[in-house]
Amino acid sequence: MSSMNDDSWAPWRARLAGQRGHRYWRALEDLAADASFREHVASTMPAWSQVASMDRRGFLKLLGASLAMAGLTGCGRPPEDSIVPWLRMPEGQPDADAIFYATTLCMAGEAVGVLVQTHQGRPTKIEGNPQHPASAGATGPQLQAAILDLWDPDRSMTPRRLGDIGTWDAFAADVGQWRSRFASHGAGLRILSGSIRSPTLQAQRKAWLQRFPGAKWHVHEAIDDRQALAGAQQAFGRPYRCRYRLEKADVVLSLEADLLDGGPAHLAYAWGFAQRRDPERGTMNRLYVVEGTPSATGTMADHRWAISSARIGDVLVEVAVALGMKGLPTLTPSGLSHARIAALARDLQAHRGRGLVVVGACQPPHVHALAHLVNAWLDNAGKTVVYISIDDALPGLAELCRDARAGQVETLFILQANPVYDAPADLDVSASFAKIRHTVHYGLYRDETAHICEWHLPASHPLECWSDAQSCDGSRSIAQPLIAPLYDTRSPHELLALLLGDIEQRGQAIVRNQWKALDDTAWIAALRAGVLPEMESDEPDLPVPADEVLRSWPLRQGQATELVLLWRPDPFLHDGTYANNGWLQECPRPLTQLTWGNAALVSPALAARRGLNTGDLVTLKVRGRALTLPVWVMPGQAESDITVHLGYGRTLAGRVGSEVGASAYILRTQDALWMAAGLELVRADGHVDLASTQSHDRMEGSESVRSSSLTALLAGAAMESAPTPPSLYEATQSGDYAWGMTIDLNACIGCKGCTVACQAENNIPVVGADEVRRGHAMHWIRVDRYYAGSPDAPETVHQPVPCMHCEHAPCELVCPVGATVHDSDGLNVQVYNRCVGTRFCSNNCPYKVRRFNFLQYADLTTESLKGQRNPDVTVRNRGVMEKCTYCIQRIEKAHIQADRENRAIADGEVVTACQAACPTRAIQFGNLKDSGSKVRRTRMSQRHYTLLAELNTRPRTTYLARVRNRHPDLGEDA
Amino acid sequence: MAQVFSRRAGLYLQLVLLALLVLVVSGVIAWRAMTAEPNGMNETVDQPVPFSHKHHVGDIGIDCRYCHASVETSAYAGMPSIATCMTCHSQLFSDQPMLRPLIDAWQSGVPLAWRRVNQLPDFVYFDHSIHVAKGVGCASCHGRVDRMPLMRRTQPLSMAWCLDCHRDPSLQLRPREHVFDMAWAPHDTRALGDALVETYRIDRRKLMDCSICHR
Amino acid sequence: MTGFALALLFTGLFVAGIVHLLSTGIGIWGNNIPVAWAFDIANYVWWIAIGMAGTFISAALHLARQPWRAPLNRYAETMTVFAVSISGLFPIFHLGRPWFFYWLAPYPNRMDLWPQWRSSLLWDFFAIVAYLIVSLLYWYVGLLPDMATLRDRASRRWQQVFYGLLAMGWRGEVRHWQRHETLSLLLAGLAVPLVFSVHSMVALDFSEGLLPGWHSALFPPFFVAGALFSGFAMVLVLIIPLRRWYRLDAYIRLIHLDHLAKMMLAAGLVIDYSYAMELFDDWYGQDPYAIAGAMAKFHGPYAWVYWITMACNVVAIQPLWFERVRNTPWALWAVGILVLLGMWFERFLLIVNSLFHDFLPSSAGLFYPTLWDLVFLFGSIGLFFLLLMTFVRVLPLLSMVELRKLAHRLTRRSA
Repeated sequence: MSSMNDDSWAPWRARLAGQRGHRYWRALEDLAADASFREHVASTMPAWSQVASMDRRGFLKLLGASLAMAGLTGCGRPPEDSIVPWLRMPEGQPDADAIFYATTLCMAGEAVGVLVQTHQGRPTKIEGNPQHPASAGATGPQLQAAILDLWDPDRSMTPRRLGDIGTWDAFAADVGQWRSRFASHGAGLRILSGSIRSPTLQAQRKAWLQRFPGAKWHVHEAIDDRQALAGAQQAFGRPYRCRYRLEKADVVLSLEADLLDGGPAHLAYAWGFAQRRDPERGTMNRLYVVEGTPSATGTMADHRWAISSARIGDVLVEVAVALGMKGLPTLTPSGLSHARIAALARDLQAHRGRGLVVVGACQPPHVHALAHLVNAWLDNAGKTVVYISIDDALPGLAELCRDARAGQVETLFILQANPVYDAPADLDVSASFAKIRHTVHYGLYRDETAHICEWHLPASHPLECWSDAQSCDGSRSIAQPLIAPLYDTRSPHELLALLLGDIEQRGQAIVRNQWKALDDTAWIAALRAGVLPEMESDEPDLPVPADEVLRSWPLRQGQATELVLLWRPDPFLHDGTYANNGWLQECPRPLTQLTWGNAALVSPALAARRGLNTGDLVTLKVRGRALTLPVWVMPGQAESDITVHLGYGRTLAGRVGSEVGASAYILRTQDALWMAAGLELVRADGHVDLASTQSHDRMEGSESVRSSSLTALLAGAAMESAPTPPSLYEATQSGDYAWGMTIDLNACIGCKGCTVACQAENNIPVVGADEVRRGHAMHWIRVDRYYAGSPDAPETVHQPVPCMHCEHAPCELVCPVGATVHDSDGLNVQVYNRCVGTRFCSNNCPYKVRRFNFLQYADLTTESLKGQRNPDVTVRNRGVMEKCTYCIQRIEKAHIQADRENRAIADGEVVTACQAACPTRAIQFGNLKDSGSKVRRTRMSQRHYTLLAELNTRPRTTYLARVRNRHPDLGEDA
Repeated sequence: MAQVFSRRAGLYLQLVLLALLVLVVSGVIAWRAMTAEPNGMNETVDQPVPFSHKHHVGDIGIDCRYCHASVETSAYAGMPSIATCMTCHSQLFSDQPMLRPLIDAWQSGVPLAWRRVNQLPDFVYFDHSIHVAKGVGCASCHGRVDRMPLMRRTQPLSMAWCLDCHRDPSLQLRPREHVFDMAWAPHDTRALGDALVETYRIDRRKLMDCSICHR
Repeated sequence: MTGFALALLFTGLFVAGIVHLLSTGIGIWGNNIPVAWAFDIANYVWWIAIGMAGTFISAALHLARQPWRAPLNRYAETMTVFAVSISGLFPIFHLGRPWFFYWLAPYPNRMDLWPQWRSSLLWDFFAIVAYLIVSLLYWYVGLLPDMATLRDRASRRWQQVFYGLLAMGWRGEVRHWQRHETLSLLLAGLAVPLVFSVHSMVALDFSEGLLPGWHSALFPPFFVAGALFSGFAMVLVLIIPLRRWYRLDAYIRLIHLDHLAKMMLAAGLVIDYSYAMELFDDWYGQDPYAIAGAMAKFHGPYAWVYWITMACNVVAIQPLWFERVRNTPWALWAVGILVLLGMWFERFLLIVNSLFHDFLPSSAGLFYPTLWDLVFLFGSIGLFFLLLMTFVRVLPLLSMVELRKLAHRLTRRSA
């Protein structure tokens, strides 16, 4: 096969030179259309021409039946488009407007059941699956953004050998040769994969190891809970995974555990927690959080205490002592006041069996072990925390590298892992892998690891292939494809089958075979429901912890003043896997409101002492490794702790994710995965203008977010400051419905799920870092974050702000062409095709929720991205104002449905995208004229209040105030 | 020294100004005409196969829904798959040159590309199902297709035209069972229409909302 | 000549800017959310204000029978026409989709839609168009007799044709004169109220909004005064060098400068009063947002703009109390320049200071101009001067007719 590098390609490459972004794709389109290019391709590499043509036809099939993409036509004669009907009408109702299918997505270390919306065969939107315990109907930013990965034009589309286009057949041939060599025993044959969530893959792994007894299967995850498992090992003698029942817990102590918005099962936890936060329905729980760096969970705490991450263990010991546990080590005081420890201990003691102590995955094993002891002592074990036994860990990346350097590895398959980027720096992966004869990389992208491997194989997106998965809580579900693979890709199961010498078997057969216990009806039912019925009754066993750990309690070395470096997964990019996703890159990080890059989080006190401001460059030095990145002054950060987020600084992520931020893996070593003492912080010269979406962090006397203490609330304090002022104009709104929204600030954890869900539903474009800096971000629902109190221990509040749909809308008054008007349901609608772009409406909007297309932001040229668009929502072109519409396309769909059946729209029939995505059900939407509707009931709440009521705009979006349930003995000592 | 302009010059000047005015106005009108629809009203459109609605609907009497199957359930009326055509044409006239493209498509598996006759802008969200459900006849917008050997657009499809009916739906409504009836003609339109608005619970207020067509 | 070249250069830049704007979108400017208006509207208000004095001088003083205005009015009107035409460009080009600007006009269309009558922008559109048309007519009608004179005096044929066409067959018959007089009177009568309506409308563009710093009933008179203020300033800034270069001291005498200076001072004092009243309202109304806005003026991120405005529009005009200052052209010129500067900054402050931080702290955001913002500001100035210079070359800078009348009147008085 001829090489892509010979000179015959020069003219074509010249035509692509210097083209970036959508221009690049346009140029590529032209090339593909160019006949001479096609035959050149055909002559030099037949494989590629197949791929290319397959790709085009794929799209024709795909977009064929669907009508033209929604889009604003400027003036000029509209293009005449044609209708391409089906050849044979497929099963189901292909011409229906939208169909949902249940499937499963594995993201950020958890398998979540989802419902995927398809339009004429195009997957366009992901919703949570109410029947799946890990989702309970909700999703997060990452799940919402997964749909964009499917359509990402940077995905790997074809096998490559040493960088040249290859074919699966050629690869199969190579494997055939290798297999013959390993026929006997398989020594020197290795597989490296991410953690295995799929039972089918698990089975295939066993089969593979049986076939090659000498081979080894390694597992590598940059972000995992191995310290927690080690802790369980210490306490119980074998690994257990904890499962918490937050809905049952009255008192929760979280030691750096980001239950609500980090790690597996956080969707389920968030819902469990939210169920206990409505004072008007049942008793409120009380959450204590002790942490070194602020987390979403911390912002929801009734008492949040910032203590260096290195001293969290000591706090737990002090609590244990106060609880009267014996045999504990005596330590120097952790720095947490005695009053707090005592009150906390009393609270836990008073709620035996209804309390819970949780330790974060970043804490060392012995702290986890002690937590198990405390939970057992408090008799919480088995009630608020259950233990799920798991298999022993597989060999990891370290062993692999060691063997590789020892020359014991001859052939290595890397399945959906990217160790070259995210391995600890001291492993020096590329050097070790260089010693391996054959390396094969299999993944969604041609990433850093792919480039050092002999073979790269493109993976099918989870929405393109059959699979199955087991979530952390043990529930299992099937993953079914929503669309035929867009490119020449295979599913992991197909690849494993191929490695086992079975080149025939396809994904569906493999997975179905795994579940042959199910008869066809059960199988269909499982596919429909999106989750499998529990097979064996899992009676969680109740292991008894031993207290060896107390004897071998490691005494803290180093003095209190030294700086500590903390690594944390990025809330959106996780370990960097999702770095090429524009929605995630541009979504403001929950606590910093930072987009497109990471920073070193520094406490205000330390920043003041070192004279550092947000954006100043600093160099972090730890154990001879150094990394330079900008400072972010983070209120609520423990003084001695400095946090960096993983997942940035990708070099080969793709057009979106490459060279964004700095890679914190450079500092990471095997023995210090989450925390490194002895950090040096040196000011580097230079300043960076970080792309943050919120410049003012304090409420500055305005009452935009109102909060109260539970006691005050029970005493009958109302939140609404003033009654609605009178108006000279009579109410205009006249229809049968009055749509309204209420947002419960006591439930909102600020995860930004709503923001990304809205982006996916409403075709909201990505604008890029520079445009964000210039104040051109386009999100329709933003989540404001305010600090109250001292910068060292602030109270942090989140406030989602969509369009308020004012009944007296200031924007409508000033539009000269009537492009924003009220409809008879009382919605404030924006008519894009009428808008001329005076922008007066935005000036006159007191909530500043309107967004303007200052440039041509919507990408109209990249074919694959068009596939994701929601055909029910207009794609806005430049010069047009846009804003939240309460998902009018969903409202209208319900209207039409109901009108066809001559009935009224039922409560809960219209669910907005943000509402559907919210893990804590903080958003209520419905008809205010219907006295029985949920949203109407929230209006009666004592906590109900209106934003900027004094302006008499009469918003349809209102809020429920936040409530803090402080420990009476601590009072305001939050 | 002599005047360059005669006394009549003033008149010419005025005429020139007048001409300019006319020119501008006609220019604007011409431009509007240019930026209208791709194919004009009542102008037939060449299709890969010269399909005759007159023959299929008028002569044979095939129901609209036989081919446009999803018209009652979906926003799109639905275009018949070639398989639908083949139900008859695998036997009938299969050797006619006129049907060649159809047969080829069926054999080669490359679908036919019909040219659009009734086209709305992309920012207009028209829904067939609700109009059918509320008693708007096919003929009201598509004309007497049973009399069209070749399909053509019979209505301007301009926003003003849509609003004519949305302002006062009564005059365009017919009993649900007559929706697909091409020849149906009312006796007392106004009375019947008002009655139907009641029975079909058509919310007149909502009909004039921007949001009912633009999203 | 160099001046002409310079003007040409800047005009070129202006054109380039417009092309880039139309092809790329207004994202080339620094405008953002929350500051969705900035230079674009500031330039617009500034120019239209400058385009005020001309009509006022010629029309209002014409109605008021002030013969001394004769030598001033021609070029003042010209200035008006050019300034208003340029200001008219900004509302169009600041649109997200400028090619649809005509949607503001109520015309029969296939969409069956009217404009939205409650919006001040709509009425502003009407106001500008009406004002432009009337001042253009008034200017041209005034030119007619002079055109005829030029035609008759012209030596070359092309000049005869050129001026002949422009003269539209004026033969100086009594009928012509009589109609000319009535028409001028009528147009003057039309123009004067328009002068006030235009600037009241511009003011309402802001006071219709509910932003602190915009939502004020004070604005219409305030804007009219401001317009006169900057209008007279521009008249002075232009006339002083012109009378020097073209040796017009005989016609435009110190007394004219003195009058202009006095009127500028008067208008300036009204402005200063409005400044005081704005602050008083904020304090008296006790609206926290208004007070925050006022505080931002004093020591917000744009405080420097406020203090420049104060220096130019309050301090700099005080010397005009003294006759000696009023009679020293260079001093007047300096003051005029300062006032023009001050008035632009005032408009900028009015817009940006109110927008950058309104009600919710979270939505606050600063405005930073881009290169293209400056191109549009200075480019428009370049265009203005280009037009003016061309005018000075080809048309009479002083109204010969008016001057003849004046001379006639004076001789008769002396006789």
